[in-house]
Amino acid sequence: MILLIDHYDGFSYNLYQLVKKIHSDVSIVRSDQITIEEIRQMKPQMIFLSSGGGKPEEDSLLVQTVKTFGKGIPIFGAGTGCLAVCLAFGAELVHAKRQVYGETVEIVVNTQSRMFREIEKPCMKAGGYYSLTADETRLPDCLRITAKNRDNDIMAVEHKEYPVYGVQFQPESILTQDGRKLIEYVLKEEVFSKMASSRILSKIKEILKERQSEEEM
Amino acid sequence: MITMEEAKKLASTGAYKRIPVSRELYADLRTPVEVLKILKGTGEPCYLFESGDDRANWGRYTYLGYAPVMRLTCKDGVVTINGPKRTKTKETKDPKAVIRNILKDYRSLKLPEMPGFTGGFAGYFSYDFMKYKEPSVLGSAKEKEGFFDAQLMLFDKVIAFDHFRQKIMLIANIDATDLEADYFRAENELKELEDLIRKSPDSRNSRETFQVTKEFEPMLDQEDYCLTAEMCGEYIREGDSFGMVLSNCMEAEIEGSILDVYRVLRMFNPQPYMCYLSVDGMEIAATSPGSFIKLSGERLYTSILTGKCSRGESKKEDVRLERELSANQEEQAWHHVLLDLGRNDMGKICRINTIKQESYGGICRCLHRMYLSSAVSGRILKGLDGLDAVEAFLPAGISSGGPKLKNSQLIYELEQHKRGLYGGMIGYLDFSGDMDFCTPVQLVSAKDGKLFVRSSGRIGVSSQPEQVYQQYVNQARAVLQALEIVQKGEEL
Repeated sequence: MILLIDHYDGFSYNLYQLVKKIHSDVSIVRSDQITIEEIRQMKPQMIFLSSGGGKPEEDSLLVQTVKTFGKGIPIFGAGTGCLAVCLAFGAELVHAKRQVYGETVEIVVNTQSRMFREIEKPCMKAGGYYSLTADETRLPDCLRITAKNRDNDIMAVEHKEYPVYGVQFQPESILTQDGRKLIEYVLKEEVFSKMASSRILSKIKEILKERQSEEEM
Repeated sequence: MITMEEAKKLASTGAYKRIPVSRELYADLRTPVEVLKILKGTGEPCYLFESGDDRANWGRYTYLGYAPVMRLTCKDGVVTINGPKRTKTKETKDPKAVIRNILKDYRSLKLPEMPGFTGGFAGYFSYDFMKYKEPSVLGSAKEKEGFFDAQLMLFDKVIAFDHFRQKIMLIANIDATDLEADYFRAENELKELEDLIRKSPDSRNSRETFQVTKEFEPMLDQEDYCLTAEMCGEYIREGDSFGMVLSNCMEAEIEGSILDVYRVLRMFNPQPYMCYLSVDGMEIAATSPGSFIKLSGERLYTSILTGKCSRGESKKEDVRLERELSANQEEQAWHHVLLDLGRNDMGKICRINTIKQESYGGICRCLHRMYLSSAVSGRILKGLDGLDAVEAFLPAGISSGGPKLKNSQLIYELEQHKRGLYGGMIGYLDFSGDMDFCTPVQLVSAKDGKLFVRSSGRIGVSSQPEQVYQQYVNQARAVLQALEIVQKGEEL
């Protein structure tokens, strides 16, 4: 199951539709209607954090989710979700050089990064709705910048060790060219491939068990 | 008119509670506005929905009705139903369920030779209707214009002008469980309606009285409005909002009816959606460049029309203005905000992989205006209906900006008043489950001797408060000009 935490955003259901096109089992829950403990019990395969305006507080559910589950459960934050990812690992936020709402933003992505590996060209058009971004000068070592806009603002990050990603733009916007490709790839890497390997693993266990019982007979 | 035999066959399927039957007149007997005057003259609640644009959805037909069989209002959790026999009130957290329950008893079908609306609820859902879905939003906003959260009238008869076939269709709905008796009742009622239309005295030269007795006063004066716009800008800079809409309400005292104001509006500023509604002492006149939500079978449509711009005097100028509009970055950004918001609302209630961009960023031309235009459609989830769509789409993004919820909270805090129909929707929800609603861009209403004009300015990243103020004034201009013309009375 994929969990999408809706931080009262205007576009959560665009993201929901996009993720659900790729993975049939998606639950969408509002950020003030779920607790860390409940998330733990849901055992999601991956967590998406929506946008939602404003600066997420240190003790907000978005930031706490990343802090609590970031090591184990893959997390993808968009917009405010991305800010939460950055804050959770100790980054500071600053105003973007230019505020953008509803504009196509040209971003340069690092095609060597994990998240943008399947994006062919380093230049990508993305739908921007942001006023804040992570401060590059105080970005913690554990985060890797994976995209920037023409003003040199951070537009995407990934954790160097953990399966945690953030994009400052809106991958689900009508303005974003390769939004679906990006989400598809992250889901493939973090969810489907693991499902395959865990299935294979359980299959092997099953076969071994059968053999063992045959031998015992 | 379908025959008794056909009606029996349809009724025998058991799927329908009502079957529409019709009677036709030549359309050149009366103009729609004349008929409206006749209907209003009966003293009964009445409405007119029409389109000043052939291509639009109401386009081919003008719908009128009067003397609803039921009137429903909903306010702060109390639904009041004035039925044919008695008045009922009901406390509820979910007025949708009450409305749905009523419609169930009228379940009807679409016949191919009939217009889109053959009977059902006509009326409005206010901006403030959103509180039933989002109870946390409203706070302590005060009343201004006297709108309900929703006000609907149930019409089992419809007068439809078919501008294509030049016919007036009079439509009634017969009870499928008692066909024969009801068929004759319907026939008689349609005959009576025909007589009313045919035999009423010529009203073309009779004028409604209208006089402004106390000049306009705005809710927020220029200084306060600009200050509030400045605060909106601050929210945007802090990332709380990505575009806000600040409305203001002008209030005057009047004597008489605003029907002539509507007449002037439709002449001077014809729009694809235009409506006039009179019920229980309240009159509403509204126009809009496009459909806000339309449900046709399982297919749900929304259109996004932004960036109002005047048409050019010459063809050359028209093309130049179009280019300017298309190249205007701020307008493009606003259009995309609303498009992404519209897609999002669609995403709440539509099946996966069914949401389609019907058109994108084109130009829509009305007589005096042109707009950037996009449309999105989707297939509504099984088990959901038009009322779920109403809930999913309120408030209208064009009057709230986004994110909708956060903005609505801020708007109530800043404006301190309910928005009423502004940012809500007006139109119909019919017996077959289909609906068509627009969100008013020009809005004037009158109640208890008071007249209200509500309009708004938009705040983006780089908006100057003075600019926003000017926008709000400009948006009200068409209505204010219409009022002036009516007061002079020369051209009417």
